Amino acid sequence: MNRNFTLIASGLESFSFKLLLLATFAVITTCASTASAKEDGLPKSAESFVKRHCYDCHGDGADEGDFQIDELSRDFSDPAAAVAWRDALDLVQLGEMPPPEQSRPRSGELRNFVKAINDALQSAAIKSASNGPKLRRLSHTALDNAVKDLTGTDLKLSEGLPSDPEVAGFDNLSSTMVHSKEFIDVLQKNARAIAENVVTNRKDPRRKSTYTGKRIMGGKETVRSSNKTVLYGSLFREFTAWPRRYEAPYSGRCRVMVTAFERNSVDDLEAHGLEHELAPRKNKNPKDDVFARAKRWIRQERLPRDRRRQGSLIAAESKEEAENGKSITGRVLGRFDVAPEMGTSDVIIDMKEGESFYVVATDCGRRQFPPWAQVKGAPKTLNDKRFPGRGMVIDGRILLGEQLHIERIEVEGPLAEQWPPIATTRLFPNGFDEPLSDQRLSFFLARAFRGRVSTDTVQLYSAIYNHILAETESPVEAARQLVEAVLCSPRFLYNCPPADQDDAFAIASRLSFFLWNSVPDDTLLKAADRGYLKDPDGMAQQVQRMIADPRCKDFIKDFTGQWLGLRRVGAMLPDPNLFPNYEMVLETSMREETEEFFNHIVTENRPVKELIAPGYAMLNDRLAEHYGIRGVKGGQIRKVKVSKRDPRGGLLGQASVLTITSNGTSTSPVMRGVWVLENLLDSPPSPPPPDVPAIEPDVRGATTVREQLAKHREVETCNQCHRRIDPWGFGLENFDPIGQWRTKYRGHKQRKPVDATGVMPNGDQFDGVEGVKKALLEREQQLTHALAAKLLTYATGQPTSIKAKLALDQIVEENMKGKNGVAELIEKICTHPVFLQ
Amino acid sequence: MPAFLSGVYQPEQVGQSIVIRNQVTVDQFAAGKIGNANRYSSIQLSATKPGATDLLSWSDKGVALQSQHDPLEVYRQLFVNDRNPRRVAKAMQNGRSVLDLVNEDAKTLTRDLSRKDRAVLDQYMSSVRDVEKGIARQLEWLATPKPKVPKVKNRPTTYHGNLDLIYDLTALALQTDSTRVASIMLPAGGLAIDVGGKRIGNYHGQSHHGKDPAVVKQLVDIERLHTASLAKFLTRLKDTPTDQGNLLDCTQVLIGSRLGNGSSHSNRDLPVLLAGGGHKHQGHVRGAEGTRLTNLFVTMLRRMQIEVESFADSNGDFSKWLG
Repeated sequence: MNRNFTLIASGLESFSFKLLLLATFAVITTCASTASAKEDGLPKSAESFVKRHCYDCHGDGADEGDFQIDELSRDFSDPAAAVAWRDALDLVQLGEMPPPEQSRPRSGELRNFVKAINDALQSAAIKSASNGPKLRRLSHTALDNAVKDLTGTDLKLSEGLPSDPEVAGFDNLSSTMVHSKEFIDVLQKNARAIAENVVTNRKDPRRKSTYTGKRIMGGKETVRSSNKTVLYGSLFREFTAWPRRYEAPYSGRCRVMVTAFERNSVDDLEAHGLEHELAPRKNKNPKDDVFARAKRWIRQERLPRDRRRQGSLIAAESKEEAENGKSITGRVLGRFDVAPEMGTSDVIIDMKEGESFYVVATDCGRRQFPPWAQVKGAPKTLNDKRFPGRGMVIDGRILLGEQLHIERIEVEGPLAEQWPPIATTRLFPNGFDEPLSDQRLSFFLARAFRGRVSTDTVQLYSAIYNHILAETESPVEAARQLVEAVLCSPRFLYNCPPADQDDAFAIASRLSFFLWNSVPDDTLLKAADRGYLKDPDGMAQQVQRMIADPRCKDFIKDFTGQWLGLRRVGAMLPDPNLFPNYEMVLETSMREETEEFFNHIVTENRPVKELIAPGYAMLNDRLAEHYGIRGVKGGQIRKVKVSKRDPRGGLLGQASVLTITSNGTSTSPVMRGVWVLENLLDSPPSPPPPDVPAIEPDVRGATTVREQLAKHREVETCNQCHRRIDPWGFGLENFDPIGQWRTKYRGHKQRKPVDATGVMPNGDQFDGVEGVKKALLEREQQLTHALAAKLLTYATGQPTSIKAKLALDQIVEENMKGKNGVAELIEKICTHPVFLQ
Repeated sequence: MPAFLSGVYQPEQVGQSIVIRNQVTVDQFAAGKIGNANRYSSIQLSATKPGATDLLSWSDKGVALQSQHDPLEVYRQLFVNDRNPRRVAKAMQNGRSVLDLVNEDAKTLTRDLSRKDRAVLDQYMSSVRDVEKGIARQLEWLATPKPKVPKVKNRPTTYHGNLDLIYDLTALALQTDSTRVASIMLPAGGLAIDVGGKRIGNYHGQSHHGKDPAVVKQLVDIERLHTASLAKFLTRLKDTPTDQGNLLDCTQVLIGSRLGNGSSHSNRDLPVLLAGGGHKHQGHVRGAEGTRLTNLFVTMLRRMQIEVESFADSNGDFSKWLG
């Protein structure tokens, strides 16, 4: 019998299906093909409008874009039909339909049509009941934030949980979240580890340890010089340094402070006018031109003099010392900045008890062993005090390239705010000798379950505590079992939808999981208990308080990660040969730029239009270098004024957005176009039909992507959608795959110029990113509607229903009467009945 | 990756958007049928640390299964006995009582919910029960010592060093009948790939070669290394005698990629190779246009005496080519 079965798949391509996921939308499909055309749902005037303006292409047998409006159901209570009508309406209002080559409807005619469709949708929506589950499991990030707020630990309840499927970027929708054996299995293991961590009678493990001189260990490929440990490479473990015999005393968060400087010895040699000659340490292969290669390395690895350097901390099992040839594979705990002059910078890292870490000089010797050089006039000159790399001279030779000189490493942790941890003191305020009271337990459960708990529930959980207590006589063990059960409980894991306006605790949870992505705090629970949330003013007051609270950052990070796709930053490494400039400082800065930008817009209540053309950019030194903007120093992101015409600043000029919409090698106007339509305009295009020939990028420079797409668009069925998608992306072609400005494409033989002009679907001509921005600003209503829809989806865990769309119409119209501020928009969403859906 | 072993591309409309929910992959389908007599019904491994989207196996509930890339951990799970089985058993029993409690609580919570929401909670409760069953299975196996094999002490430092060790452990797992179903993912990133002295950290870029001849050559070199590791694995299986001949004769080994051409992102004409399993192999065969990959799965499943009419979108089988 054949018994075994082995399957192997290669990861040639970690990007498959992304495009399909991005581009999959059935907006105007023949969703109502089963129903025959019913005339009774649509007023006569609207019906004749449709006949006059749509039937040429979408009626009487014509089915361009696979859409036949005469076959579309006029029964507006059918949700599929309602969505299709609503989308058709959007296209008409945007001027994309009828297409520019057809005659335009008169404005009065258009107004009547819009009103007729809206009225029909409205009256049907009132009747229709919403479907789909409303019970909503906490997302991964929400689980972690909730644990932090309840127990005080930074351990992650979500570690290793199966991921939830994304719908248009969102992984927190009720209907798609995972409930499975694998989920419960991992969850329980993590809950156990957290329970052991937060319920404890151990004495305070918090401490600070300092390492200098010989207490900083270095691998074989490191040097000790003037009492500092010098790292000059980052290829393998033998290039790293670590604090001698350090072990994390307790699982949790630590602060590591590194006192060091980093310089490139070539910069210093040049600054001192010293001549040098390469002296490679060995030359095994006589044919190998070591000198040429060494020179190339130095050139390739040389970073701009003013660019900030970073080092990394990598997790290690404590007993593991630097073994020769070992790769650097552990978990990256964090990164610290290094300046060319001695200084201290700190980094917060999460460690497990007993774990250690080692320091990698990330920017030193990134690809090869650094070469040696003979320096004329050495060693005397090099030992001069003015020369910071002094001491690096061995037998008259000097190592070329970047060198990280570490003087001191301090580790402080665990960084618990209090000891014993908050979960312990909440259950046992006076220590474990006092029995656990029902009152204490019920307070604890009320916080975890975010509302009042019944005595039945309290009894259920107190039973497990008493059971273990009787068995082990250990209140610590019993309380751990209790905490484990709480974290696995459906009352913790799920949010029940608010039943109505009076369901105050459910409303409080909805608010806090929206604006903090975590559990309500005591103030919010109190406001719920006293009925303040029933009143729009009371609600608005809480919203304002919550937006001003630092926890709002958790919402900003989580929301932008999903809405704009920022979670994908770093998921695909740009080709290091094409983009040697792309490194970790840039990657983290990219994401921070967009997060800080949206944070500013929310917390300062800036108008929606600023998302596109703010007149400022959120930059640090690295981003400024990337964008070619002068005068920004230091790693802190700050607001920098730029002209409104500057390509930078708004979302479309941000490296994060431009990088995630590329494949790491070449740009795709299609992907960027789809990104704009999906995320900024909430008008996703239909999915490509099956079996379309894909476009194969050609980096040799023979054809540009525009030329390839032009061929694609000659096919009328392709053109139907691509005339809507491509223009947005064409306008962004001046940005390369990592968001740098370019005027010419790469190419081996010839470098073709970038053409960033195009024609919008409504017939408007434009040139470059400025044209794209202008076109978006003209669509302020749609931009606001899209943002509001994304916010509402995130808040409620429901995809935007037609009913929600109509409610948002009102909210947007109301908000646009003022300055159209984003904080006000959030407030209006929260106080509208649609928020409770 | 999702559709490679499930044969499913089934978009489902959620509101205005489409979500693609995967269904069971062929390995998990087989594991459900034939894996119950072994310590592990299946194992999921990876050549190196997988990225977030490097997923290969999906459960019958459509949940992606995580794969293990650390050979020390694989070794521990398969071949190292617990030092204190009584304490492990106690911990498992405690875990079970926690699950009993939350299940009880879920029942009371159900009362106040709508029908749709009750269905969600039912999924939660059935998952809890599944975990309890899993604990029961582990408790049963706790008394049976794990098979003894040569000790694995070090983690290799290169992609293919690690892959070779993972292959070796897979061979041992099959040989000792610890499991009958294994899947191994080959991610693009992770440990460095040593290509003729040059180390490549992530070869995703090479798959988007943009027709650059130098990059295409690198990709070919990397794929040659993949193939060399596979050859070593197949040889090892062949050199392992069993009651009925050798291990390769009773193991069907399938290797493939989810894309036919990574550079154009085409998922047609996937490179697929089937070895072993006692089939009458005929070298490279070319099916008619429209032949589904899942047709091959049907024949593979039947070979394991799992009687199926079809699998996912299959429209036939491969008996013509495999006898």
